[in-house]
Amino acid sequence: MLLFVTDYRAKKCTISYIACNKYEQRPKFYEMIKTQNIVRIFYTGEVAKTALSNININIKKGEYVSLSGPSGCGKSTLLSILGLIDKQTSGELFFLDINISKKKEHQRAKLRRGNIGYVFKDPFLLDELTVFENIELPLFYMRYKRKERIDIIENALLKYKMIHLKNKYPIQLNEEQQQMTAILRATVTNPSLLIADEPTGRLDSKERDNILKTFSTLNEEGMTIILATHSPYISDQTPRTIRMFDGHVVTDNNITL
Amino acid sequence: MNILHYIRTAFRSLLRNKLYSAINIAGLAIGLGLSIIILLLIKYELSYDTHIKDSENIYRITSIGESIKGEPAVKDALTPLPLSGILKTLDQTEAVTRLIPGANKLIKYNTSSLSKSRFFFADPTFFNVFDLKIIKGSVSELNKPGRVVIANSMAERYFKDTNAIGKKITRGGIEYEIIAVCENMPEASHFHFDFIASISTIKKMFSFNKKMLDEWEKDWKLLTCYTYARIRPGTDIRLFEEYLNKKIEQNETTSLSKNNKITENPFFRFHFQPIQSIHLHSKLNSEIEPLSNPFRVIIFIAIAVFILIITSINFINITTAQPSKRLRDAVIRKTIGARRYHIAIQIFTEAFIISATATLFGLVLAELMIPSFNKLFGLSLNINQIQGLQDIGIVILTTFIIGVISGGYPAKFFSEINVVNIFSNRYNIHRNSFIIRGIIITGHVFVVLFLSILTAGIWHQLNYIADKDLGFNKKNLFVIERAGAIKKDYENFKKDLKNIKGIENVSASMSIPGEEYLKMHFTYQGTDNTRKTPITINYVDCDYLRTMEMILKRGSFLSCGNKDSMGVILNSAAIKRFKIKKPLEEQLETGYNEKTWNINILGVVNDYNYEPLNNKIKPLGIMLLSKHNYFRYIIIRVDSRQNTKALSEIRRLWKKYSGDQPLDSFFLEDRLSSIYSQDSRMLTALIIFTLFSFFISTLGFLSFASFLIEYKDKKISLMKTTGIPDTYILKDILGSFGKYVLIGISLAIMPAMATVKIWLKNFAFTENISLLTYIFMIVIVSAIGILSISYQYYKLVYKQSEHYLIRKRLYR
Repeated sequence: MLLFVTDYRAKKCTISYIACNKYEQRPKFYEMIKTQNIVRIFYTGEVAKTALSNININIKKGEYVSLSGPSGCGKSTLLSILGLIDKQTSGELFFLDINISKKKEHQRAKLRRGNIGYVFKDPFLLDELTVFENIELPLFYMRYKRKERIDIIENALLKYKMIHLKNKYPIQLNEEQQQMTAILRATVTNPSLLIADEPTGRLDSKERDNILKTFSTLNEEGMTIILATHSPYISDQTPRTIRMFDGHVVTDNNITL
Repeated sequence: MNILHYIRTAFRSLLRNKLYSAINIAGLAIGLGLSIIILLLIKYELSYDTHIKDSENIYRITSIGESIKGEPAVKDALTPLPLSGILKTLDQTEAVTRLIPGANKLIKYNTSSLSKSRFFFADPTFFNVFDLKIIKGSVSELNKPGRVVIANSMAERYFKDTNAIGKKITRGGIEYEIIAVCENMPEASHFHFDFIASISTIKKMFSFNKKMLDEWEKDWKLLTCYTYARIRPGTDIRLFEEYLNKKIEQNETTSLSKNNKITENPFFRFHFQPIQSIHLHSKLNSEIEPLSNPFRVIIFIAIAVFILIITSINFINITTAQPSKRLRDAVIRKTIGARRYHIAIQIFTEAFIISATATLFGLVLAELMIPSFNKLFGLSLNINQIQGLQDIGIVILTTFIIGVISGGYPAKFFSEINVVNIFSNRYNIHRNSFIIRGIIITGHVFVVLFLSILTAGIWHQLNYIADKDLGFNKKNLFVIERAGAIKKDYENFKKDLKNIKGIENVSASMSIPGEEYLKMHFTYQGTDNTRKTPITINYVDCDYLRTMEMILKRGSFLSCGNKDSMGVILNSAAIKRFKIKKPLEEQLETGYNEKTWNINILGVVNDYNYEPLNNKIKPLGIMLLSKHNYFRYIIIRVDSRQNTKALSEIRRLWKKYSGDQPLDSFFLEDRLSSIYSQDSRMLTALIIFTLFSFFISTLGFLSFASFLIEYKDKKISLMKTTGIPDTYILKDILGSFGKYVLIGISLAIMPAMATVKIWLKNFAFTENISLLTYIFMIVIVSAIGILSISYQYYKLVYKQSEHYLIRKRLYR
């Protein structure tokens, strides 16, 4: 049983090999997420709908994986489970070798905080906050000091050539800039895992390519990325694609079924 | 600082939704403003007689009398004159004073005259009991006759730039030297004065009959003066009261038993009434000025609490009216790492900002509204009365509590959102939150209906009082006050008046309906019972019955001349009290100082309301005014109030007969209405608060309608796209709204009716409000709700195109 002692400042966390920035201290590849016979059933009154059936997948640290398939195949459902947002009906889920299956919501929230970043089709920016303040939020909630927050965010904005948008409000940005802000917000705490659900759904082809380039850069820097998409073009950009249909994994170019 | 983040975000969020924020702040501000005024009013009411130094140790002694058969016959604020003599001898008494109100006589100084003044005679120890500041002069000579101390307001009015000390005023033929100017009695006092004259002056007034003066000073039966005592702190007042009463009984020199011939039973017991309790709790006869009653204070407290509750509820309503946006924000924050308390702090910060802003605006509004309220209530409230740490603390605490109440539910509601919704981007409103919103609507309906019914009940009763047949014709009765000024020429005056066209009748009277009356003791030696009872007496002339248009039930009225000087007309209540079977064949006995007289019962009048309608009709005797009796009023029946010619003739004749005496006059109807002026003011205040609660509730209904439409969004969209008519959809929405309204109505009716009933207990004569009135109120409240829902439906649904609705559902 791994000790799970977390300081509020994630960068000082003392969990052995969870969310520490010193990747060189850990093996380069280890299992980030492992599922065993995950099933997810939704109940609406007396009607039950099985969204996922017997999902068995392993995703290692540093992988860049896409979940692809048509609408309704269960991509978003699987993504929400892998992102520790939703809970499976049955089956086991391991996150960094910790069995998450029996964890309560507040325990999963604790695990999510600072360790998993989320990007969605809708950037979900808060309209009353500037770009800087939107990106700052995760750091604020994790009680980073103001100076630290400024340094981290400005570095990130400089890196992605967005420093000139620092004081703009979401309504003043184009779609790509909004999505980039969302990505920066999701990655500002240097999470182990980035979950992206149709991140380019609203973008045109040029904007889409820019965003995908950003994801590639993040992955090259060591971030594990799981991306859900219904676009074959996008799934082809990722080294590993898990194809789904009607709640099942059909192909996984890691393992062919 | 972290808190700056929340404040900054809260401000920006409020500015983004300017309309909602403005409505929220406006509603809270008006509610707080009204509550502040009510609280100032309550503070004022509760502060009566607390501004005098050591007021907690000052008591008014009151007289409680029992007649022989155990019936309470006297409950009076007046006491016999000799009482203070006994009190002075007791160790626990630090100071004692008597106060005798003077009649409304003209006061002259040089060429100016003052007709309505609050003139009292008092012992020199008055300023030992009531520690009022002496601004000029000295009160050391208040023991000498013909000395007077004037209140500062009077000095400023009549002696503006000159020194009042040493000046002489004349009243009733007696000259008074002004020896001092004192500060005014505090506004919140149960009595006020303009002049305090030495009580020894009365001896000068009675100097023509020393025996009568001596008897008057020693009479334990006559309730003549108000007695106040400052008692040593720490005294057990109940024990002291017992001790005093025993001492009075045992003291032979007081001759309590000798004077009133009741040797076997004590007639009066004296009770110590703390002056701080007089204004709200005194229910005695002969009060110096009209008092309030605790019911009014309770009603105002309840209104203040109701207003604060509904404005806080309204805040919750408006904040959570369109929850999707807030839910979305909460989900985003939680997804990126916010804990529940982060969301809650954000919402509370917004709530406190709105609450604090509303408090500031509320204080400003209160200051702007106070002059109108002062005019309405005849008060001098001032926003500066909110001073000191305690008051400021209350304002801050109220702001805080409103912030907590208003922010509590939204904070809980939004912080509990499940982050899984972010994947569906659908924020379904849980049924629980719908039920809670429904309960809020029930609360609104309860408050509005409660206040409406209460207002209707009071309005109905006051209308009933205004229209009630009092047993005499109160219309077109022109009354001249201080009529004794032309006592000598009264007959000529009356004769000339009767010659004026438009004047139907003229009469003189010692008292008039609504004013104080004398009391006399009568004994009836019946065949099967002997009853001695004090009954109210009025001395009138022979035209009184005709002028007042009263109904004589039996016998005849007093005739002119002296023939009926030993006769009395009784009312039906007196006949009942004495249990007289054949009144015209009976006599009553009365006496004074060993002398007794037999009085013939000449007739019986129907009961008429000579006292305010708060009181039952008590036994009354009407006797003939003699040459020696002083009368206060001349009552003139004119054909119409609008007969200005007749009225100006009256004024001309008055001037002719009275010389330079100013004419103090009024129409009796107006004077009788003014008795209920406090209740009228309370009604006006209630109307204002009820209208305000209607306004707030309408906002609440509109917010609930937005919420309801969002809650039923899916169903509405489907119904619209499948072509179901709007009336059917609206009916469905109204059905959901209707049940909460019904609950509110059923909860409000009984408490409202009970409250009206409690208020009506102040009156001996009441009329229940009809069922139709209740139904009307219910219909009004329901109609406002239905209109609000319909309006929101029209705005949010009906005007939207079906195409939009389809897109909204399919492409969410």
